[in-house]
Amino acid sequence: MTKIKIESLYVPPDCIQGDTFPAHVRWKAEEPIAVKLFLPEAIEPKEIYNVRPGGFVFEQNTLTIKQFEVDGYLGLVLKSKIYETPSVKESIKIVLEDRTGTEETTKEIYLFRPDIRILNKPETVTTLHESKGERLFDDAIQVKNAGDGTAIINLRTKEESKILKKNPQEIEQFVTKFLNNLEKNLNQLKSIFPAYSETLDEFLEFVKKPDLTKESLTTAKVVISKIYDIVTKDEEFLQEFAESLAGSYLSSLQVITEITPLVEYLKSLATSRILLLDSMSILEIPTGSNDFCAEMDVTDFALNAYPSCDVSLKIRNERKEPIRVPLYSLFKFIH
Amino acid sequence: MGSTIAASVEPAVRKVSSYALRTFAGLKEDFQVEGQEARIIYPENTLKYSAVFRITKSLLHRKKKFAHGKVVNVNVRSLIPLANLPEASIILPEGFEINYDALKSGDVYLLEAEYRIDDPRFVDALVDKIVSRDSPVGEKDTYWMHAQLKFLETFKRLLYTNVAIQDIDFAVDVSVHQDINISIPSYFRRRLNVIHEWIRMSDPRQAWRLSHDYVRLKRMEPSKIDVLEVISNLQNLFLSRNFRRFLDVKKDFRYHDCQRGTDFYEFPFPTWPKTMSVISRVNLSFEKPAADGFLIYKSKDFRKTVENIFQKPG
Repeated sequence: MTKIKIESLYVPPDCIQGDTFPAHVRWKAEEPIAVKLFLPEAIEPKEIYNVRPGGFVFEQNTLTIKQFEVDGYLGLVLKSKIYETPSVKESIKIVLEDRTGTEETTKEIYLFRPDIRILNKPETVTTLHESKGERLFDDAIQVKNAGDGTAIINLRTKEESKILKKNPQEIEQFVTKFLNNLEKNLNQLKSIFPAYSETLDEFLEFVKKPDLTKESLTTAKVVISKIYDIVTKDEEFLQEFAESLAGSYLSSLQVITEITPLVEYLKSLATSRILLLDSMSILEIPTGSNDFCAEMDVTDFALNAYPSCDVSLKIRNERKEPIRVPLYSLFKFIH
Repeated sequence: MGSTIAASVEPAVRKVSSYALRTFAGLKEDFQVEGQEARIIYPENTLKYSAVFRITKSLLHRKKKFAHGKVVNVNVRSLIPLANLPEASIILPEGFEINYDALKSGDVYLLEAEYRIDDPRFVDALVDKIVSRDSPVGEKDTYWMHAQLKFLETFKRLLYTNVAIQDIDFAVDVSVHQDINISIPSYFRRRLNVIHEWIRMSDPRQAWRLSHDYVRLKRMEPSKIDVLEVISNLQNLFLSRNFRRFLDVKKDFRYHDCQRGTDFYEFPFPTWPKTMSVISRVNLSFEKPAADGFLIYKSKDFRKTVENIFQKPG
């Protein structure tokens, strides 16, 4: 009968696929023990804490640890791959053993991710002569999140598209002014902190054109990480940087009524598990029949990149003049 | 796969631990130290060193300097009777000083000296903090939180076994967008849309048509509500003291504060949050190097509260 007493053993109940999650074991034992973790194929260890260098082996999905820096505690960070299926339950078996015997526990973790499906994409949509409530077109692209967790989507128009995505006028003015002010403030910041020039340039570039392609998301992670590293080491820079952002915003702020933001906000929310990144964008639609060539980029809160979906179609404007319609009116989000 | 190298943080830990060790050495020269502990206060990024000491011999009339570290706070208290002794200590430009004239032979005292830690990333380098970034669908959204010490051996060697890291902040972004969306009734949305278009309209004929639509919609509503009052009440839900009641923090963690989250990339409109950032706190120590807990967001209650805003008579 083993004398090992497990004081605490933790694996979180759930996690976004592709993201890291923690685990720990604490125990009391009369002599040194070994800890074994039997991991599913799609889960691997990323960090181990309180283990001597060379005190562990990872082979055939089993992590075996025999030498601890201080007995009684093991800390871990694990990471899952992205699965084919959006909802998966995996089991991790943890065994503590000494000469007298073993103590064994199995923990389950629910690994989830969003799963955006285009349920229906008409070849052509036509503007209605009079809008029926919120409907502006005779049909819509039906989108559903068939997975779990929140999907964050962004529409990216292709070069060949005759119909372009734009920010509504007052927003466009605001954004232009904000970016100009930000560039000016950041250039001043570069002269005070020349060592950070390159990172500040990367940051500004990224702010000007945020999108959700795999490259941009990778860049986003790198730029954010660099800025974080700098601001946590250099308090003076942190202060100046925060003031640059705040200053740019405040100096561009226009009087916007309470109502407009709420409307736009509500439109952006789509449905329970989908967030539109550029919800306030509008489409400028010339008269006649024109190609709207676009792709839907998808990510989640862990910034995983998912395959893009093509959402190209023809838009026929039967009104007498060009119109501007909100982007979201092309879509119907299904629960 | 990597294993973290403790050597990278050892110089910083050595520097911080030296404040406590040197103070202890100084106290031991003249007093009997009965007990001591060190706590790292996360929000302030300070090391708080506490020692209980007894005066076992006669003291010369003098002031003793403990000239190391940037001290932000120092306090000497007599334990029997329990009393603060403001005249017994002062902060110096470097370190602090104890005035022996304020102490009595045979008595027991508590010294508390708080040192500033220069490196703002000191604790983050010692602690692994992970929170869940999203929660699966359910009635109560649950977000787990976890903290663990990375270098227990370094801690033990260079600080004390009786050391703790106090009030480690954790921020969890709780999604609220889906609850607002579901709970706002469609007639209110239509009314908002009309007002919205109305504000932007420059063509008077269109404006007239919209005002006509607005009056018609208002007549159709189940209750007479004032749009601006509703918007104001909705905004108030996101105030810290109001949103607090939809939150519960369990196990090793405790609730500290909440505030509006930043909109995901949409910097021109910060007024309507898609997430609320909830700050919880936890302590870690040598005896308890890992802690876990979870935050519950009572989304059903929140939705009900939003719905009730539209039920109130105007």
